[in-house]
Amino acid sequence: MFSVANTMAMSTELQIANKILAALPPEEFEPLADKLKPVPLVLGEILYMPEQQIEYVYFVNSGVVSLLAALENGATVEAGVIGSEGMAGISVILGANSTPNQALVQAEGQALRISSKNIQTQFRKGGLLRDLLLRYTHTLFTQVAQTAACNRLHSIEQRLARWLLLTQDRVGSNDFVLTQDFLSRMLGVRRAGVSVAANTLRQAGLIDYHRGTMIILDRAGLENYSCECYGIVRNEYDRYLNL
Amino acid sequence: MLWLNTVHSGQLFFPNPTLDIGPGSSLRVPSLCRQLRFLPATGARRSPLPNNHQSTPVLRNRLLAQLTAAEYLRLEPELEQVPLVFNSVIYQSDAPIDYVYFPESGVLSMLALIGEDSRIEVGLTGYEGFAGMPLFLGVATSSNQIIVQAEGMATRIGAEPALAEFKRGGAFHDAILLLIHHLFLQVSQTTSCNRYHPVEKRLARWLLMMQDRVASDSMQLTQGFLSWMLGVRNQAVSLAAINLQDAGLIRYSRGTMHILDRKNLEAVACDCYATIRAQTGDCVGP
Repeated sequence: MFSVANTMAMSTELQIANKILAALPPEEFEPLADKLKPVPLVLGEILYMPEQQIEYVYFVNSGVVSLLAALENGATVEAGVIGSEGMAGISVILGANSTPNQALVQAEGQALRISSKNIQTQFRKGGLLRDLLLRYTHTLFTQVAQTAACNRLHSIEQRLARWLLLTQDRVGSNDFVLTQDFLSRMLGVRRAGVSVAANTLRQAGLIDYHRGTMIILDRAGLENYSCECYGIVRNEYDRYLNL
Repeated sequence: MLWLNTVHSGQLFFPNPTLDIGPGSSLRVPSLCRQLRFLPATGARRSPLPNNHQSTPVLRNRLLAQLTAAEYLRLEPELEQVPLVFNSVIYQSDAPIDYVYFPESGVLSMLALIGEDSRIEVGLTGYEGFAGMPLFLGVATSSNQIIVQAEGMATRIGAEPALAEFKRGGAFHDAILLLIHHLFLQVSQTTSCNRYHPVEKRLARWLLMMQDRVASDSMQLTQGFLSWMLGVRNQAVSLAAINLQDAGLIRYSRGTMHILDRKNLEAVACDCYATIRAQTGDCVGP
């Protein structure tokens, strides 16, 4: 993490942990700096509702944002996760001003938010920001496509293991707040199903959880347990967005 | 098949400069959709261009039809008509993207490979879109395997000229990005659909999406293929197909699927069909 001093007021230093922003050369970051506003990401907060106009995009500094695909009856499943490697609101750079997905804060943290208009202007200027946002779109797309396959073909235990690994990569900690109800919405299975799967992983000594906190005990073991989807998505990030 | 007549009829269609709605142009614009929808079948449209362009192939592909005259003229020498052969592979997973494909007819299917021998469809595109998305996102290889799901014709453009045109940032650029958005929506809807909806509803949705793009009531189809596409066992596909057939919605015989009752097939399909159509500007199909 590094910080960029605001030239107007040294006291309001902008913390830049977001990997896309941190990779920008000064001449590209400068025009963005005074347009970025740090905002907290509050657990359970909804950044976008389906079909609503996207006013801001969020460069995640810390925490995790989930993209949820919803069905007509309100049932959801997570289609993708966004951490400090990315930005919530890529629809905006693709030329759309709304998305049918819901963006939900899955792990609290902080983001740098900027208006859709300002990011579009900057994106159109080209440069590294544009390249990184496009490559990021590719990796997120790969993640969503893999999830579509995974949701059909893999067991709840495997999918839970994959989900925990993706989350741990982004929260950067071995433990995080997590309720079964939440997991049930992310994986698109009943709470009872989540409960059984979590218990299986616990008995295998891979995780532990109590009072709403999930603890990863054996990451290597979890990687073995997970379906290949974790590795495929991870590999895509490492290859094309190695920041 | 209808589209074969269309493609080879020598009918001329050239992107009309008046259709250029400039930067920020959107496939959602209903008038544009309407304007283009029935184009290939009627043969009524004439090119505003002089006779030396008489050899120009029919461009039914919606994206190419949105090019400005200047864009079209730059790309014209690069356009190549190729057949889309049923079940052939357009891109292998992880292989270089040499060409970008713009279907004029037929359907391309995007597959995720799972393990050694399992694959499942995560998205499909026909004359409304293109294949070769990663190229424009800065990745020179295809992550997913792309195969021909329904035979047809495509216009293809070499990776280099396609990318050069994209980088100019005009209508081509905007249309490519918006189609990536649409594909993203289709695939993310599929994450949910695959999780929750029964095979029968998913089969109905899939058949409707295919029919929208093949512009015919029948399509070549094997059960093994369907089983891959939907990610379910052969037996489950069989059962679902039999149910739809008993209800008089489809008829399956000798490798060909016939859609008999589209309206009621829509009633059986999960809402994902309507959701995806609405999200992508309702641009495809009848």
